[in-house]
Amino acid sequence: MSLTLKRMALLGLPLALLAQGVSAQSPEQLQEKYQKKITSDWFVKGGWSDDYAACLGRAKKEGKVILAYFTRSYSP
Amino acid sequence: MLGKKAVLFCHVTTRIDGRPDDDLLNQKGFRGFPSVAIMDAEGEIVKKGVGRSVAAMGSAIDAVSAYNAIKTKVASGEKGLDAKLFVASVRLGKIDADEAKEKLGKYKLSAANKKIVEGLIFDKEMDGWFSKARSRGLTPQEFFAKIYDAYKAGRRPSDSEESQNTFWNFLLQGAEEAGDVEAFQAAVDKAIARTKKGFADRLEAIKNKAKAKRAKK
Repeated sequence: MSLTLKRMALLGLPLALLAQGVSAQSPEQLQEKYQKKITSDWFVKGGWSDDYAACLGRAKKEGKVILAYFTRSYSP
Repeated sequence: MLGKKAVLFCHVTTRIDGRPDDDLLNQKGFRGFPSVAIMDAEGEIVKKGVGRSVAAMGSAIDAVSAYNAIKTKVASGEKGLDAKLFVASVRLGKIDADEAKEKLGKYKLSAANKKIVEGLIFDKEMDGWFSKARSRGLTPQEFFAKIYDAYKAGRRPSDSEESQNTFWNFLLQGAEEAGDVEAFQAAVDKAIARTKKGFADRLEAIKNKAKAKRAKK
C-alpha cells in the first residue's frame, strides 16, 4: 500500500466510525439529545430560542437584529 | 445583556428526520460548529465570522446596529454622514482592507475614528498573513517578522479580542527572534494582563453563581 493510501486509510477509519456513530443513533436518542441541549442552563437562562420563524417575527416587531448561534445536538 | 440588543436565536442541527429548518446551517452557507453570525429580520446574514466570546458577540451586534442606524438616516435624507458610514462599513467588513486604506484619506475623521479604522485595516492585513502562514505561503518566521515589523512601525490591531490575542501572542515570537527586549516585555505585559483578566472574570462568575445559589436557599 502506498504511503498516501495508508494515510487515507488512517484518516478514513475514524471518520467512518464517527459517521457510524451518528447514523447508528435511534430517533429517540437524537430527540433526547436535542431536548438536553435546549433545556441546558446556558440556553434557558441566556434567553435563547431555537424557533426560527418566531425569532424572525420578534426581530421585525422589536426592530432588532438577530444573533444567530449555530450548534448541534447529534454528536455521539 | 445580549438579549437587550438582539434577538437570540440558537439553531440546533439535530439530524432528526422531518424537523423543519434542520439544515439551516448549510442554507446560510456555514460549514462548521459552532458558527456565529448576525442576521436581519428577513433572515439575511449581515455579518459572518462573529467571535464566540460575549464581548465579540456584543461588539458585532453594535457594529451592525450602528451601520443600520446610519443607513436609515442617510435614506431619510440626512447629510454629512459619509465619514460615519465609512467607519461603520469598515467595522462591519463591508469594505476590504485595500479599499479602506485607499478611502481613509478621503474623509475627515476624528483621531479616535481614525485609530479605529487603522486598527480594523490592520486586523484584516493580519488575517491575510495568518491565512498565508496556515497555507504555507509564509513561513512561521516570516509571519512573526511581519507582526514584529508592524509593532515597530507603531501599528496596532483594533480592540477585538481575537485580533489583540493574535497580535500580542505572535509578537512574543517575533520579538524573541529579533532579540528585542522592549517589544518582548510589551507582549509579556499584555499576556499577563489578559491572563489576570481571564482569572478575574472566572472568579466573578463563580462568585455570582455562589450568590445565586445562596439566594435560592
